[in-house]
Amino acid sequence: MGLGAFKRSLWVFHLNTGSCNGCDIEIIAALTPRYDVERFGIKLVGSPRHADVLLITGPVTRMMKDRLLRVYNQTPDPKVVVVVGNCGATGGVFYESYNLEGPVDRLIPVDIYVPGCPPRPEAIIDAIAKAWAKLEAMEAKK
Amino acid sequence: MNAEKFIGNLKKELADLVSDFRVVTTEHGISNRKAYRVWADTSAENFKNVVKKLFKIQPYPHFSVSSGFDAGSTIEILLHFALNYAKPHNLVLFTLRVKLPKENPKMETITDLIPGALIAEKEKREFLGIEIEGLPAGHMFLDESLAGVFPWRRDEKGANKIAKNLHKGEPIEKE
Amino acid sequence: MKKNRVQIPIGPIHPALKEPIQIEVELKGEHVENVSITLGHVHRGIEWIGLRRNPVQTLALAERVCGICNIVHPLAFCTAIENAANIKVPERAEYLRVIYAELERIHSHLLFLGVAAHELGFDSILHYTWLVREKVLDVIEYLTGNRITKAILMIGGVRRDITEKQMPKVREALEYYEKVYKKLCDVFLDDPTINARTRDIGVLTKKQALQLCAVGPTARASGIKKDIRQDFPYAAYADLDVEAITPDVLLNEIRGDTFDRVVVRVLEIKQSLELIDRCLKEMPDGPILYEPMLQRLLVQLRQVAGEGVALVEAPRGELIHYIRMEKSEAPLAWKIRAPTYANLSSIVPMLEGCELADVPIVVASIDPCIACANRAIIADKNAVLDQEKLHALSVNKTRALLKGGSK
Repeated sequence: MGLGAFKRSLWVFHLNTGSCNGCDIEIIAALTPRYDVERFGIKLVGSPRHADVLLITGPVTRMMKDRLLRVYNQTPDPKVVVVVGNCGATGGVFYESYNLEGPVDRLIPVDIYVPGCPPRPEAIIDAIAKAWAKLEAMEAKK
Repeated sequence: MNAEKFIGNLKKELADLVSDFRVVTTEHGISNRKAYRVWADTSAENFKNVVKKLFKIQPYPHFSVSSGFDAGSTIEILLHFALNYAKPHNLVLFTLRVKLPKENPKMETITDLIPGALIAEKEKREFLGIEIEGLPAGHMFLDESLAGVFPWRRDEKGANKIAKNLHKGEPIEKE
Repeated sequence: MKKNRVQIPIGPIHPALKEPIQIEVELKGEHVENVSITLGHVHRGIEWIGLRRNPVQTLALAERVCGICNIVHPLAFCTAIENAANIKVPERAEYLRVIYAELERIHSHLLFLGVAAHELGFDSILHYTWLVREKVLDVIEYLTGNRITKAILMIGGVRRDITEKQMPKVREALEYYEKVYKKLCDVFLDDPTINARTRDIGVLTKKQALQLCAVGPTARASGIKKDIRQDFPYAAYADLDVEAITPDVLLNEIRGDTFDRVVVRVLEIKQSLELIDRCLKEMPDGPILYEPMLQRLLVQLRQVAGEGVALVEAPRGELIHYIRMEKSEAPLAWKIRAPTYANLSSIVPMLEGCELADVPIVVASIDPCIACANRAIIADKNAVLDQEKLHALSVNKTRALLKGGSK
């Protein structure tokens, strides 16, 4: 992957919509020295308004549905949505419940799925790299 | 005080207030050390007196949580207490069962005695639709859109009618 | 003085408590006056789902209550079922359960220390503790096949043994942590800045802890010597004579503040290392499962009419599962109570009187989860203070202290 049209570092916003935290700690693990994604310019940011990529975990609970939509709308275009973990992609073990509104792709468009419960940090980094490539393609088209 | 002596005291103190006082032990490890679980039943009128009595034999009885479920004609509330704690291998796990009638499930709050019971009591109110006298209003867990639904009920007030299958995106009770 | 109403919705808090939390903080000037709590954002209805599946299927669900405590939740679930069904777990399996649970405690406490350092603005220490934490994850993966969700427990035992051939790698990890432990002590216990930011901040008195039914390191830091591993025999802890650690072991006094809660967890890492070492040495030979044939186990469980309850010491404190079986495929009732659920009420007295900049570290000190501590948004009347700004406030306070400014 060379530096194409997307010429800045990649900022990522992470939203937990009801995950068990397994995926969330693996996302943090990807930032810490063993995996250290910051050396590629990938950074976790505190506001969706600054983000290029949304990392979403969890099967979307009733209370988080509106928050998910709000965060999606607050993220500026072009953006890429990555769903980390089985329960965000399909509901996983929580596939039937009275308090869930997911999976995520029922509510917002999703570009990349990372299966696993939880996926390894390597898989999450791979997904971010794919998101990067997709953003480059989107910017090049503009 | 060792667990057996403590249980003896407990049984004596609660004799007039509870029925079906049972001691269940399990053995663990190579040493086969015993873990003590005590079960007892009481009525909605008496249960608060039982909790008050616990303070006599255990300063600050540790309220772990209350469980609850729909048993058909009654709603059973179980209060789990860890008693005789901070004494190696001698904790007594005491479970007090209160059966409430389905038509009018009502019990008193124990938050005046044990402030730490607040979250557990609110949870029982929201999930089982029981009335807890003296407990401040306000919901804790469930979204307001779920008003009138009590997920742990097995009758028409339960959550089956609103539960969804996430794969199919449709209600589980379609057919 | 004019009162500003300030709201802190802390997002998905610790999932072990099965829901996140919203904390509303009322400030007077810089000081917290009033705190109120609402839960519910991560409520997935796990207990309800569990009543629609058989116990072995539900085991997978119990593991997914929490991504961090996924040994202790299945452990409590299995122990409750074994209690209801009168199943005696083989001794070797009880020792293996302790080894896995203690490995998990090491990883969880290291995770906590990293998060605590991050809240103070010491990101270098966050990275250091999380680097150190990878070693225990490697061992967990080596033994169970998974880094995070271990899927190792089974009703009536464990799924996989630790073989003689695997021992050296576990021992090597223990030696590694023996070395690292000294540095962790240096970093967390002797650093003047950490001391200044956590000493006498977020105090929970012994009486408050008793009244609010606090559990685990939070209760022990306030001087209550309760630890389920010590008090209530389960698994091989019955043989191990664990002693509850309170901060006076090291400091000769108990203040119940944030520093004490850090001290307890640092000391418990050492305790876990010793427990694993003992288990590896003393573990008896024998079977590791009560009933290896899954179908036969399920048939037996379908015959059970009764109830069981289990207490387990999770990294964050006492965990309780209750289960009621009624001769059917699925249980009639299942209740989970995770330690953070019990400790939440303690946040209220801890926060009252604190400065706004202390909120992140005090909330983190009961070890809810990164997910929560990272998603605090403060909505002031006019301005929105997001998690970054709140964190910046906390970092600035540390920097000011480093420059020798007054507290």
